Amino acid sequence: MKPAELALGILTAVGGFVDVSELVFVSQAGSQFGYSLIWVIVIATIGIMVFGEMSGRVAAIAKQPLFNLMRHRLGLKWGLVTLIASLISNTITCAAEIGGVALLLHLFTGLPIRLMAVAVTLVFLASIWVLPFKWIERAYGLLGLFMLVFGAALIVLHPPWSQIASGLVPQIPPGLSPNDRLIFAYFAVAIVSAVMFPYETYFYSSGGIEDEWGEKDLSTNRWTVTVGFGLGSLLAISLLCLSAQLFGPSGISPEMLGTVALEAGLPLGSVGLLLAFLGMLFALSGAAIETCLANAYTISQFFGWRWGRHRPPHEAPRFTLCWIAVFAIALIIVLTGVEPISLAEYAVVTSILVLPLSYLPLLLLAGDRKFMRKHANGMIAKTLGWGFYALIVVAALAALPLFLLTSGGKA
Amino acid sequence: MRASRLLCPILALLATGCGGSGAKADLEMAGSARSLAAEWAILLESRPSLTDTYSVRMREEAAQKLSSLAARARRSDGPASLEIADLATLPPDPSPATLHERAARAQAIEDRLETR
Repeated sequence: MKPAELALGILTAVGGFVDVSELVFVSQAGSQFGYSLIWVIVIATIGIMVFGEMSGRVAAIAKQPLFNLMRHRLGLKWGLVTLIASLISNTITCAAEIGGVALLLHLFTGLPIRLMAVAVTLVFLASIWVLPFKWIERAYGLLGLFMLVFGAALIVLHPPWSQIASGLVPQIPPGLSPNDRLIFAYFAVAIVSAVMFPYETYFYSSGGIEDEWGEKDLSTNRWTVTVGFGLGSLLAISLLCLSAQLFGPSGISPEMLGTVALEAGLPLGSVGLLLAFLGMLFALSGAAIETCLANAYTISQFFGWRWGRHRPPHEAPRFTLCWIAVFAIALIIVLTGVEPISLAEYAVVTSILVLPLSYLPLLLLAGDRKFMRKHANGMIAKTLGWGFYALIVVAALAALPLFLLTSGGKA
Repeated sequence: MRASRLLCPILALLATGCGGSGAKADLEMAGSARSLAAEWAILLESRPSLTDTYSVRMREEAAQKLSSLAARARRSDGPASLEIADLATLPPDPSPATLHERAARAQAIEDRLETR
């Protein structure tokens, strides 16, 4: 394991951790419920670490892409259900990210949103076409590190650290009305979904296979998911704390994506605002590319087509066609005028419904000694894996009723 | 088949619980109006430390959202819809004080609707 390679991998994971759904939900959660949902971010981060590590390990040892497993473990019918649900969820997420990037560019340049949406989609298409896989992953992930400005903004604000620390303890704030409790539960589920988006594991494990991971890469995998995702979650916690401090007292529950940039703009002025803009721009761009490629990976792996960005486009034509089509569909959704925040809301609800189906085959294979040999799940991985699996099943069952009963956390 | 038989009444219950309630829709609209007015006010108050294009575009977006909210409230028949439509209808260049006043009025509507 080369230390520089490992450091780059970790930094990429940090910069790519936050996407449009986290920006929206974490900020709204902070303004409405103060620090009392920090523990949900922490638990969901441990969850994505557990499943991310497992998917990387399966990619390195069994060399099995996730959707290949799904078809074999769930059978054709359930595999197809999972595939379709994942495609819907990832495409909506991709549209939310493209819409978010277009909106940010509109806010900072004044150019029309629709024109920006077309322009960024062309840039994303060119990026995937031209750049090697590692560069795609690294370039956007590393540039997403501008998001660190939110951490700096929090420190500058001198927040009440003891109150923030108390948010690490699982709790339901006292004195909430029954309706507010439902909204609190909705935000908890939405944060779990936003942090544990299934496209992250599809992309991560397929990336492991693209990079030809083997047994020697297992420690890189472990360090990347634990340190990278762990530090990334600190960014999400910073967003929540900033929102609790800056927006909560004024009655703001960000209705506009651009308001999130104020979390750095208010404490640090125009420099903070600009850095926040760049961080959000690259974090959302990276997520748009990841969701798009995740869809192309899943379809190709499910149907057994040749796939991968390590192959030139003409060697994997159906895979290439898939990612171009996903961007085209996502762009059409954006051009209809649906707001990125609404798309992000739909994305988290559909994603949480897909999670149990996505992670079951992964859990089964990661624990199978026939494929994984001595690297099969041990007692700790097994306990954590099934524990988090139970959590996401509960969250998935609760997601739709909570979304409907609280009008997406609004009433 | 059994699953769909079980799902139908659950979905029907949910639809009744969340769908057409005028008070619920009003609560949602009042919350949006409160937040948008407060977001606009904070943008005006911190204008000197923000970039011009960003400030202008954000205010335009807030104005547009409040205007569509007012139109939606006018079409709605909830107990506070007209009041919400009124507070979401703003003068062309509102001051931070006006916006704070509207946010406070929206909050009062929310509180009233929540205790119903």
